[in-house]
Amino acid sequence: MTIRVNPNLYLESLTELSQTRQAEDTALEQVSTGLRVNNPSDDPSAAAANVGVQAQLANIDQYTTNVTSVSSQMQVANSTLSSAVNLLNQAITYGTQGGDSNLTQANRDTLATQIQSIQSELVSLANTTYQGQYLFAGTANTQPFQTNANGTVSYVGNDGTNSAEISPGTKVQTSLPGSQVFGTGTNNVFTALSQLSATLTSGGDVTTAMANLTSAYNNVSNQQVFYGNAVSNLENTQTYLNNDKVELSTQQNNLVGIDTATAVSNLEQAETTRQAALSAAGQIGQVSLLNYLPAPTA
Amino acid sequence: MGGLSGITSIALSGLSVDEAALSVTSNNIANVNTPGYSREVVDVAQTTPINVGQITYGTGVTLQSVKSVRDNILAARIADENGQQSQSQSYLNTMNQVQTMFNDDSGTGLQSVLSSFYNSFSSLATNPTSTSMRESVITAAQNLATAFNQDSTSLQSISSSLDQRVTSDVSQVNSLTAQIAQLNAQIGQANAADTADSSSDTAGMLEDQQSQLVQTLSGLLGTQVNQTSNGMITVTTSNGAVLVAGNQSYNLDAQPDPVTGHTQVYSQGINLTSSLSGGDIGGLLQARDQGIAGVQSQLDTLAAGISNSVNTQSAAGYDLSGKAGAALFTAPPADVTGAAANMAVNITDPSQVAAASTADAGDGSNALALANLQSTAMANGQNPIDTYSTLVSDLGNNVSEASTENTAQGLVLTQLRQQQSNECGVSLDEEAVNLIQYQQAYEASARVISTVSNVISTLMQMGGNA
Repeated sequence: MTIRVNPNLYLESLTELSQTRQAEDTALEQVSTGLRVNNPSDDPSAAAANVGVQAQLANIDQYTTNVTSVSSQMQVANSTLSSAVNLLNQAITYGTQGGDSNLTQANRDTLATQIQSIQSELVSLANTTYQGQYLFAGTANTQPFQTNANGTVSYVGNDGTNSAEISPGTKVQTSLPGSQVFGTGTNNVFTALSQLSATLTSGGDVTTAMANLTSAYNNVSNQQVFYGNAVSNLENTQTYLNNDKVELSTQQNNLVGIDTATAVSNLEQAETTRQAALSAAGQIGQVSLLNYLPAPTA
Repeated sequence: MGGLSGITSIALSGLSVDEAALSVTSNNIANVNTPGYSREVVDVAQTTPINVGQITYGTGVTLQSVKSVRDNILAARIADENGQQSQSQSYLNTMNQVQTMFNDDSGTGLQSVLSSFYNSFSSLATNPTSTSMRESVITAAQNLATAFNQDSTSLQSISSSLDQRVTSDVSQVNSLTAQIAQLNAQIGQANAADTADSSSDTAGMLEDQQSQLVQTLSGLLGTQVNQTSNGMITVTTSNGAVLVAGNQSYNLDAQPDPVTGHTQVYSQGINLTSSLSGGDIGGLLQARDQGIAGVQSQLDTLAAGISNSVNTQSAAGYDLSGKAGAALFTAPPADVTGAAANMAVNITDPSQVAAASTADAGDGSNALALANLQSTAMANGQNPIDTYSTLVSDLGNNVSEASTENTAQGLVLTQLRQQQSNECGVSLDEEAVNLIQYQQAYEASARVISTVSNVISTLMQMGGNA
């Protein structure tokens, strides 16, 4: 007696067909999305790691936005200080002229007026805003330099500074307080200018006033360097961020992506297997012994 | 016996047995595609011989019984495997639905709203007094809260749909157990009748039907089936609650939980929900009470962790008007249950965002500190991004394990069914052979009768001529 074999082959072929169908679906999804991991269950650890990589990519985008906005802000500060330095240069020229003992008082008065107008231009430069934010107020949210009734200028900002995050774990200081930029005591730009204009008006010796002005000028030039350096550092950071982004994207692609050639070849393989299974299933049960029995005779 | 009339009666017994065998063959062919049908075979034996003097004569053939070819142990294994496969299948179907909610590659996950939320603080730090950037923070916080709310609502609605399916499965179980109990009663009677008349196998046919009902039942709920001596079966749930005993069935009762609203399954007043396993019901309960509940609790932990850490950091800072920072999110419940569903933004005035760590409005240090919370461990010991990626990985692993298990169970089940089919399935080839065999035997017996008839005519003619 031979072993009785399963007379119902459809059961077997049905399992086969559903498996090949599943393989085909998976391959098709991979081709159309370009992704190997289309659901967390496709590769749970890759999907989880991908969350981390995507978060890092989002952070890189944020750092890039920060770099752009901080860089614009610091360029505005830098060019503001360039203008201030130019104005101070001009004031020094006027002061030097005023030191000439051959000048008449009327000439000195004219120079004094010009210096006063430089001072008021400098006050408005020192109160420059970028997108509503005072550039030289420290961390205060008020107009930092105010001209008093007697013509002197007071600083009402504070000594605080702000920072922004521009790469993972790296912060950059985005501003200098107005007190530092425009000096304090004998370094103070506005005091020096007031002193110079008063000296010219009174006809006195400008030597001390000029010494103070030069010192204030040097201070502002030095502070400008901070902004210039920061802007060029930000450019380097941007390059670093771009590279980082490329690297992370590659990492992400390795984690969850699939290259088109592999995906297409998987699909072709799945299709071939499925066609074979289908044609095999089509052959099942077409004949039995009954086909070969003579038809019953009447 | 003996003599010509004896020969006729032997041939007649052959005719009647062949006719019965043809009828069984015909029934097998007719049921070739009937689910649960076991092929039947005839059991024939020769009748008691008689002795005439020294010589023993055969007296013909008799039909002993018609028997279904059945393997009860195999059927029980199939029912068991079928129950397990149904469970993993319905668990898998549900959790597949859940995992599409956390597919960050196609943008359905929480990663992008989480990153946007924390990065809105990073932007604010570059311009702490900007109203538009403060508004962006509030918008990002609202988007985050909405994402948590929506995910919770979706999980809740999947759970509710599972509740309905449990209820409808339970009523199917009840109808099946009632039918099984009814068949038990009939089988008991049929067995008694079969014992009285050995050629009858009414019980076998009823058992086929019952076995098919048990298979359907196992697809709904994991059960234990025990055969009792009189051919009846006792059906219990896998943890021992009786569903069918003798001709009596015991209904399961599906009732919503008064607190959670989730369907609970009772048997004779005892809540069986947590101990039911196997079948569609087992899978639905596993998905609802473990799978979805697990995801929900991870979401709650994350939502509460974010709300608490952001609120604490906000309280450490100052808003645009120099006042101590207000909570950005409404405080989550202490036990975190429902934190994701109820997450909400507490402030609407952008100036209330606590960007400063001093009373100076232009300071942005606290905004930076808030941005850095994304990589700071929360109360659960993990930072928000890692907590979320753990959720994704756990969910993915659950689905992938269930899928692997389901495929393996499917293969085992297919093999078992093939094995059953090898033994019990109707083969048309075999039936064709039977058909020819019994037809020829019938024809031969008929020929015997006509031969005897000729012999008798010859005898008669001899008598007539005399």
